[in-house]
Amino acid sequence: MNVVDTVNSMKPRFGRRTMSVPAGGVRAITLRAIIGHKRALLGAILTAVVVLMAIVSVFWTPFDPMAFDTGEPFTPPDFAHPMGTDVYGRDILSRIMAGSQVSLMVAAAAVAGALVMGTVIGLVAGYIGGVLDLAVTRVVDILLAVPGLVFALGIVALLGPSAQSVTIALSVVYTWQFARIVRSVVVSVRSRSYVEAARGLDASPLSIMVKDILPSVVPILIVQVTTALAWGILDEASLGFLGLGVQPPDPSWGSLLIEGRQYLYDAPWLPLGAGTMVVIAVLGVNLLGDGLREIVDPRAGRSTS
Amino acid sequence: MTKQQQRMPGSDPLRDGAVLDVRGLTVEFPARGRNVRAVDNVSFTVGRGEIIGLVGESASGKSTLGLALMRMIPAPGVVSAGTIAFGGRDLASLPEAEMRELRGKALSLIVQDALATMNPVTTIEEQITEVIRDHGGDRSRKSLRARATEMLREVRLPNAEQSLNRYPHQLSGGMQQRVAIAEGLILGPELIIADEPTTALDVTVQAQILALLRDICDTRGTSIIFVTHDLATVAEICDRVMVMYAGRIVESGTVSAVFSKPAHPYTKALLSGLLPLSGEPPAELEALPGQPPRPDAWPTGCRFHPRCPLWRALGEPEICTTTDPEVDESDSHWAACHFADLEGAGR
Amino acid sequence: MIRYAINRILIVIPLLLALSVLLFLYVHAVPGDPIAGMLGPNGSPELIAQLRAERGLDRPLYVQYWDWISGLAQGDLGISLISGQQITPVVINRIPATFQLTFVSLFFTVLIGLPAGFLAGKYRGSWIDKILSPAALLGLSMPVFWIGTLLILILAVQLRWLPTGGYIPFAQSPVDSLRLTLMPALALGIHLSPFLARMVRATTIELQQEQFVVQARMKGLRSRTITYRYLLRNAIVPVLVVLGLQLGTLLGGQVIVEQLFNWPGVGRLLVEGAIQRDYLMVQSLILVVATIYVIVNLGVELLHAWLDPRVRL
Repeated sequence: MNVVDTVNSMKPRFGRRTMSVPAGGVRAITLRAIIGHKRALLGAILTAVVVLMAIVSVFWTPFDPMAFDTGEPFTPPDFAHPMGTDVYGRDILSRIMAGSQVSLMVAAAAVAGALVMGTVIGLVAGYIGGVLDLAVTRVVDILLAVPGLVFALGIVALLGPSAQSVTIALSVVYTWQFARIVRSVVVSVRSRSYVEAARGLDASPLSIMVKDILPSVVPILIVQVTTALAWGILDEASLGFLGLGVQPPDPSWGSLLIEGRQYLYDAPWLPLGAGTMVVIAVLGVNLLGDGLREIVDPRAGRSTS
Repeated sequence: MTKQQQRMPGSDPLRDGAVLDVRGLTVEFPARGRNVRAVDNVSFTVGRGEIIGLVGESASGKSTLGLALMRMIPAPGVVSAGTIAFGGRDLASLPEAEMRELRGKALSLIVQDALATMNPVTTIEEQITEVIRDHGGDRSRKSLRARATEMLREVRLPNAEQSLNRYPHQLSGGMQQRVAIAEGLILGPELIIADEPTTALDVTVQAQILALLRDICDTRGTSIIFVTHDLATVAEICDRVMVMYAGRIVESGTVSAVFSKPAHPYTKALLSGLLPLSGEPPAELEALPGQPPRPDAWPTGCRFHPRCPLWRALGEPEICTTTDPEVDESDSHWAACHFADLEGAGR
Repeated sequence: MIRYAINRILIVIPLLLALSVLLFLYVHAVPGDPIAGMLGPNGSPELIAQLRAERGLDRPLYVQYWDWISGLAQGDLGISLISGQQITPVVINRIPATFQLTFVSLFFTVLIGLPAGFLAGKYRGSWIDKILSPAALLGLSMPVFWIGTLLILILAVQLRWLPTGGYIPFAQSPVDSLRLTLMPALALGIHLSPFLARMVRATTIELQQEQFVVQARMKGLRSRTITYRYLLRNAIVPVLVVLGLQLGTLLGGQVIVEQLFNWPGVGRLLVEGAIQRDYLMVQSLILVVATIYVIVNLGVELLHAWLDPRVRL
């Protein structure tokens, strides 16, 4: 293989990261495979910690995350306030915990929406083909010219800054990534014998799509979902940081980082907790995604990692 | 055939002064916890201006032998025993820095797929002149270019001057091979190892390149070790031939002697067309059953015995399975077979 | 080469045109009235209608589109929904700052990513290789605003070497201007280089097994020649491809970094427009960003073709 081919083969076709359909089909993802894969396991553990924290925060946080004067304003981290307090004396740890709910919910909802819409678009475009397929492919190619975050920003501008807007915006941006991947899988399996056979039996297009084609898309979708979740968390925090997400006084990781930016000299510890949480969450999901990618297609990981 | 008969009427290359004298060369690769000998105790000499053919099946170790002479055995393989006397030095024990100086200057390797061996992002001119520059030669751009042009003319590349500004992929396969040969020749090496240099080319171009190599030998006195699995090519341009089987040389002699009176059963099989050196053997082939052995499972004794028709014809004598055949390598034509005499071949 | 360039340019124009249609449709297909949303509770129906008429939004869609696109062709980005002022002069005002940041960021990206990836690939399994893989993964998981915040905390708050942000035009004071560019560009460089380093590493490993690199040693070339002319020169080809691919991430990241470091670039203008829900401005700015993206990508592609003659085929 020469260098040009190598590079071209690494070129993501759309968005930040996508994957191709391995020639020999994909392998199933099992719990045992995840436990046996060092990085996937570490990723799963980190992810679980973050999710657990979000769940706990629904029932309990050290202080009320919205309550003023739980301690002196700008208390450095101590025993009562492990991550200190902010300008109003609110407990940072409590706000980070409560913020994790928003971050995870937005990312999960955006990915879920994109998953459903993208899968439907990809399935239909890939299965029916023709003009419809061409149109979808072209739209994806054109949208490629807009960086994802900028695209999302534009949609939030229309809807107004809020958690719901961010969810919708990210959902729309990710939909096309899912559509692209699903379409490529569908096109590759469309002519395989079992699909041909089902068509021969006069099965309805809908039942062929759902019963015969969808199952072969699932493993790749699982990997793509984890990858998209990592970007969802990252993008939610980014939009939050730009002031386009959750509005004060509600806490989110992104908005905690803005507050951190405002009082850098007074309270340099302010942004540390929220930033670290974003890194842990994204790292965990990324590790899990990378691991799953290698489990699904053992050849994929070797060239780049 | 007539050509080499005119040139070397029964002459002994050793008397002309050998360019290369290889003694007991052994190449080992670690595999599955033990060492595997891809080339095993090989000895031969190459005379000045001589083309010596090295023929064998794909896993016979012929290409490994070529790499060993260049001291370019890929790790973790090593030259574990033997000497390679070349230009008054032993290449097997030469420090790497000195070995580098010799490569491309005193001995060159030319391989099959010329395009794959060229840097895709530099011009032909750069590729040829950097060989000169890196061996401490001329540094002026103008004279380097003149030398490169001259060399390309010598290998009969059409439009030599313009071709210098081209990139490798812009040339045809035959032109690429000519450039590769020019790169190998530019510093006037005494020995060229040509590993199937014409296999990828079509027949006409093949013949042109072979004629070119023959010509270089005759005019420059360069010696060539011609590694191939094509017996017709050997007959066409080689002076002597060595047949390799399972990491060893099993027969050696002048082309006329070996082709007219093959002594080893393996050589006989090759020449009679029973066993093609490449591709699948024909299905009706029962004279030579089985596959060529692999380096990690060489048979004991004579390595050819499990497939040897003579061994079976003689009632499977024990000596073939237990004892390595001995040979007198000073003979101009020899075969490593316990029963070579029985065949009535010329010793 | 010139024909190749013209071909590539001809493909770009319909792409941008199609994008403009999509963008326009996107903006106008969103349910609800953005103007009512923008004005909030103060938006009496009369006020909304007045604003619509003033900005020409009561005309048929195709007229609006034609107006917009013919303006764009002449370099007129239209007017702001909020202020009613021309957008073009504001953008032109901000472009130098944005480009300065982009180029210095790319410089840092290559400065970090290329040597790291190359050395890790050339000395596979050495300590540098063993550090690179986890470092790259960590880098890929770090949001750019977090890298920037850490840099501010260390370089500005703790060490007090640099101010926490701001911008001085290059023409006004080159040294101060670059000093202020350092931190935001470094943040983007750290953000982008892991991906580049991974690619360069993979390419370098593959290159070493290429026959032409093995043959270079057969020709007795010096190891310096092999490292620079055979490995590095061929490894630079994927660098260009990656930078082209990463440009989207760079432009997206730049929006955030401009916000974090109070950098008055186009990205910040976009965020300001988004916060104020000035969708006319946002729509035009997205097209500007996309155009920059497509043009720089085109440049990268042409550079690629120039460096690797095989691409031109």
